[in-house]
Amino acid sequence: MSRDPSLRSQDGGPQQARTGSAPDVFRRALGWIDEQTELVTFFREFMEEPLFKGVGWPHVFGSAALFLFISQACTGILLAVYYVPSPDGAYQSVSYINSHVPVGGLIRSLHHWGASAMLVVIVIHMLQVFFWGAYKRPRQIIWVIGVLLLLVTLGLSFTGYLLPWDQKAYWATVVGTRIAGSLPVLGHDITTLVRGEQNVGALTLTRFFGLHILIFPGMLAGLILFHISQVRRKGITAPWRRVGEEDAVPKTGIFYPDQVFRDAVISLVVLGALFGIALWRPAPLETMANPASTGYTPRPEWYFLPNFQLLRYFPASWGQWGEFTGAIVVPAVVVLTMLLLPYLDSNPERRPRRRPFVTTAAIAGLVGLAYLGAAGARSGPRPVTLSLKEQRGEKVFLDLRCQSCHGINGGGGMEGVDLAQGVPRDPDLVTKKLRTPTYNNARSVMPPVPSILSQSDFSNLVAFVSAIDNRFRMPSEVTAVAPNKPASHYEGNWFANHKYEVRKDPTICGQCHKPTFCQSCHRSRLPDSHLNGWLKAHAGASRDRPEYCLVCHDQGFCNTCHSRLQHGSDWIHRHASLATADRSACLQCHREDYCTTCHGGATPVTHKETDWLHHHDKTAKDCNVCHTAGFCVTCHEGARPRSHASKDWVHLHQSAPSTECVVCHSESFCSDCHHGAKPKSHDATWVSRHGQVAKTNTTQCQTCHTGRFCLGCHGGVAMPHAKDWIISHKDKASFANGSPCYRCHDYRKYCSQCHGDTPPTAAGTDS
Amino acid sequence: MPTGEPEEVGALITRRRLLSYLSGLLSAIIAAALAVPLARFYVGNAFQLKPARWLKLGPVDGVKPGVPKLFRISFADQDGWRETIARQDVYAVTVDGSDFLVLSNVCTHLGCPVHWDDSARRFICPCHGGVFAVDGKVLKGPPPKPLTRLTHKVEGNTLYVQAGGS
Repeated sequence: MSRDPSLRSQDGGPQQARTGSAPDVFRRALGWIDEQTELVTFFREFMEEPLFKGVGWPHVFGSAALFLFISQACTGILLAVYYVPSPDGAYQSVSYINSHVPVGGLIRSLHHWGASAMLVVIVIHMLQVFFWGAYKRPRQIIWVIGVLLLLVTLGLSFTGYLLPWDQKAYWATVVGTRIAGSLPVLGHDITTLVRGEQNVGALTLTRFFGLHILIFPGMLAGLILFHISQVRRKGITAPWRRVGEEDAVPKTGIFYPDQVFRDAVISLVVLGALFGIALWRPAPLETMANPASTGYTPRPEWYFLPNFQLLRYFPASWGQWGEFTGAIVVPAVVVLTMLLLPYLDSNPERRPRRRPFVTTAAIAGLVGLAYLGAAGARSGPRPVTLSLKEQRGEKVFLDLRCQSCHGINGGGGMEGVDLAQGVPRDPDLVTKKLRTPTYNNARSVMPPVPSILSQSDFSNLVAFVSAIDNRFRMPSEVTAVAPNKPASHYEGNWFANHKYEVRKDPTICGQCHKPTFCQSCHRSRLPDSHLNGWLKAHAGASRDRPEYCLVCHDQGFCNTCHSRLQHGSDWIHRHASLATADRSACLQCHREDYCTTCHGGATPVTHKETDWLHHHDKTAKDCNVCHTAGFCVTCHEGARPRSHASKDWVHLHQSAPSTECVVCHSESFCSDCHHGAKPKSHDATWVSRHGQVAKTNTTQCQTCHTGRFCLGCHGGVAMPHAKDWIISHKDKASFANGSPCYRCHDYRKYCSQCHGDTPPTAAGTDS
Repeated sequence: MPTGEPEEVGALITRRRLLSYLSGLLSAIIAAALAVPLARFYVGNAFQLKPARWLKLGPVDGVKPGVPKLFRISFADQDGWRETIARQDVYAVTVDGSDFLVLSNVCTHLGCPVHWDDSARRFICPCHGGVFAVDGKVLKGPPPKPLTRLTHKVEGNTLYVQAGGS
């Protein structure tokens, strides 16, 4: 490197003064290091680099880019302390950095915006080099290295983009890596090689992580060192001098402190701007990447927008060749042109006005890039403009936390249908679904809209849901639903699998959720365990493992049924009044048609046996579970039970167990016949009255008495008296005291009508 | 500075010294502006205590006087960015049925899990032969301290133990 002896002597003063003022120990240590490594001498020579007159503020952007690289390296290394490069941990760790690590959001934002700033500053630096003509001989290779640095920086941006593993990162990478697929023949293989597998997944993430933190930074650092060393060897270009005329320009400046001061100022400005934008617009983090999401519209980062837009201009008829041309050929030509620029442009002039062709071409290229970028930015789906009513509906939507389950275009929860995709827009259907979620799906877990919601709020909500489509974006502040959810809850199959996790450890849910949380879905969709035969099984299950019940139910839940609806021994008698008062209580367990098993003519299984009627008396002791005592009379009013058919039942019935009698007979039944030990009719006057009864209804007497019973009183006289009794009675009747005739007849009232007031003597009678 | 130099040269040197000082100052500001948040970021939550919370062990009826009862508790724990399920065994001990001790099952020697030997009526550490009494005091072996007594409370009929806060 050429040196100006005058400048060395000029700077000797201050240098001497600095070393002279240093403490001896420090000076001797530096001397020892320099003796061993010559690093101090190297550093001193580096800093004392003389600069051409005119080198100044326009030349600070290279240093600004270097500063941004250092800043990116520092923040990147620190982010790597927390970051986990796996699909299971990437999003969670980035979310943790954002929300839990002190100043984590700031550091991530500095890194995020620093990437964009680095590209901006590099482009400005390249424009300065171009317009100052600094890429010309003898500095062609410095420009070439600069172009390579730009490409590596773009590679860093692209690989870093995937690392947060959110929707935007994932889908941008899917599209970005697919571009290589447009290459004929080898396209698919190159895409697979870039991704590390057929689809963007875990291997893509680890591959990009390795590229982003090791390979590309290493390449960048090496190229930067080469770049700077070449700049030092060939010097910063003297402004506006033709190639080969630089030697005439005096070197009036020194790198340190003249240019270092300017570099420090620009670095501070850049850092201040970075802090400002990082605090103003923190780095975004959308919902976790969901490869199954079909509704997400990927958008490229701003620096890929020109290329993104370019692809739109190729007609569909070109097919794959259009994509190949737009995505690969055009960028490749641009890059190749940039690389070869110093060798293609042999004009020794450095002033832009004196090389109009190149300058015009460059400006045209810049304008074209800017136009494509602007068009690309505008070409995305325009956001839906909501009316005031729909905006109010959006607020209701968020207040009800509908977005916890229903995402919109990938933002929000994943349990429910993405409302931007394939959802009916008819307000009537929306209303029906919101009011009665089960109308088209009996097992829907969606809770109905709360009844307390006012009619106006409800209609606003319907208007909002009807209005959104695939252009709508969730408000950014609600995109991350419950960012502190455990990792397991982010798994794609969590919704289906959570029941198995509950079975493994039923106490774990309660650490975060109250039992009522389960009811938000399960009140309209019973758990699978509760579907078949649960009513019978639940008693044993709840007794064996009560902790399972407590996952979803409060302690008092059992009492909602068991306090007043306990189906004990007397339940059959009580159930009617309770069922009438609160039928819904019955329907918690029983189906609507359950009652008809008894009440609708249906009979218990036992009663369906063909000979039930003939042997039902054998199980008569259980009948009063369902039937009252009066039930039997509906049949047995005339017909009798088999036991009663015996001729001597009246005599035997007193020995029958009274418990069996009450199956059919009420307690009053006995007193219908019995008055004390005898039938009620057989009172004190019965003997005198019974004849009349016996004459008119002999069969009634025969209910209890046989014909011989009468002979016990009436002697050998058959009752009732035969027709010729008035003639033949003189042979059978007797006037003697104790005659059986007197049991019925009074002599003075009856016999005296023929035989006179005084009975004949026994002898006379006998005669 | 060499004497006899033109005035403007002297002024130039003065300006350069000023610029060198300013360069140093600006560099220090830049370094500090980056280093301070980065250092705070690196320290992170390393020294942050986890918030204390009460975990339900179970009904106190199940703890018979003089017989330590093992409770196996599992609870959601934050391990950095991961929500994990932490599981821990503790022994609840009572003498009179009203005052309780809740002992960690972690041996105070080298952290092996101790278990209650019902026949010996001692807590036994399987690793290095540490033996603890029913109240956690060291009876034998290398453990330097009694079993850790965990903060607990009884509410209604339920025993709770405190987790975190340390």
